[in-house]
Amino acid sequence: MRSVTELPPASKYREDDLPALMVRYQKSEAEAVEELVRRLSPRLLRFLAVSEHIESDAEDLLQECWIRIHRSRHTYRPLEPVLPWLFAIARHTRLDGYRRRRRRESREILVANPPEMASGIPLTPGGESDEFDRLLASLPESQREVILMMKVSGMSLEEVARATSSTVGAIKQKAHRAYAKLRLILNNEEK
Amino acid sequence: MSVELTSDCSVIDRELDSRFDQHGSELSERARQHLQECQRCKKLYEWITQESPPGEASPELSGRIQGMLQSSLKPVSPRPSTRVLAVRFLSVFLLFAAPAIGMMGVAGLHQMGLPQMIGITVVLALGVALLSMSLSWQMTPGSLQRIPPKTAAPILTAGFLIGIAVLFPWRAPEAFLTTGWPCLKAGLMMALPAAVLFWLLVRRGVALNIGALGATLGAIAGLLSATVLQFTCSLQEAGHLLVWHGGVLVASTVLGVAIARLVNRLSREPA
Repeated sequence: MRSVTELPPASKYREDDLPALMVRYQKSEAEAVEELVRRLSPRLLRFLAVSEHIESDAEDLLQECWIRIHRSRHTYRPLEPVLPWLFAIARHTRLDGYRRRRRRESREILVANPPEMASGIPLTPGGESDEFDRLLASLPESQREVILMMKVSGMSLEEVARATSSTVGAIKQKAHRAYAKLRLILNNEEK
Repeated sequence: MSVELTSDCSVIDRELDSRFDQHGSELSERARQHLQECQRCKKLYEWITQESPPGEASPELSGRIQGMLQSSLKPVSPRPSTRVLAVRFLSVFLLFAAPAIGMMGVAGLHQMGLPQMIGITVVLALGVALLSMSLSWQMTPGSLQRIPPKTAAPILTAGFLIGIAVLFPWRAPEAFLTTGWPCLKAGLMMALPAAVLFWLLVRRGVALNIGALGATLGAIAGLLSATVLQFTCSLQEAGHLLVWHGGVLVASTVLGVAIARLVNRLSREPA
């Protein structure tokens, strides 16, 4: 087993050619669309799924997210980082999806007692995802999305600040609070 | 091994900060030492730095999305930089305010002393620059917003009110309501078309936080009205300026939020 100081960087997804792909997408090159969807959908799906819990909802949200990305593609500035732009849109898609679901559920309760909703369907096979989701679920939403963007999408503090319309200082503060909580949880589990 | 949280644990927080800033930067000697000693930090560091499971978008789903996007694929021109957008907002502000001041006269300008004139002009100029930048950031997803959108309007309002309170004399109010009401009415009537003009510019981008956008649009329209009133109103007294001219700014901001939320709610209601 490798030592903790020799682990690979969290930013395994850092890809320098995403801005060039976005520019080609703006020029309406079909290959660029295919490549972007293929490369970015897994990350977006992971991000959208964490609070949705239901795979079909997350997939619907992913489609909605890509529609919004498509409609907003003119707002991407060439040479700017792609991930903050992308996740700013994804973040609001997720928020709108959450609000929509809450409205739908509140209406359903008024009519009749709804059947229990399926929850926690893993988006990836195996227990690794469950464990990851469970730890993330223990964090408040604002801290969860910061950890998710940094850890899963390999975004820097500044990129997360851009995606969340926040400041780097505020993101650091949220990350530090999340670390404190995660330390306790991870340590208690070991006991 | 110790499991107690020590003051050195913050070293790991800082190491993680620099890791996410510089992508894979080396651990410092102090941090390595701490990871050997602190079980909590070791587990946290392992969890944070280990590879995370990505989502799995099925080929069918990816194909469906690709097909959907490709069916409506047209070339688009990237929108201008945030600075260019901010200059456009500034231009609209000046092109609206200057003729309005010209038509209504410059009675206020003659009532102000030089320090008051310079002071309030600086406050108004900083305010419009701040709101113009904020609007251009809000139009562009993923912009680095040096001042968060939720704080731009409160900062401006506080700056304007403090500036008025410090720069202008406090006198006993004479016919406070009857002299003030026309200012408030005229200000709000000016703010409405101004807000529409700014909105026409904003809608070329993509605003994600509708509430904050409404507040900023309301604030810049209110600031435009307050600017016109400042140079045209002959009552340059702190109480009048704070309540009736500042009131335009506050009311316009609040109305901006209310209208934005209402529009947002109506647009989301299922048919």
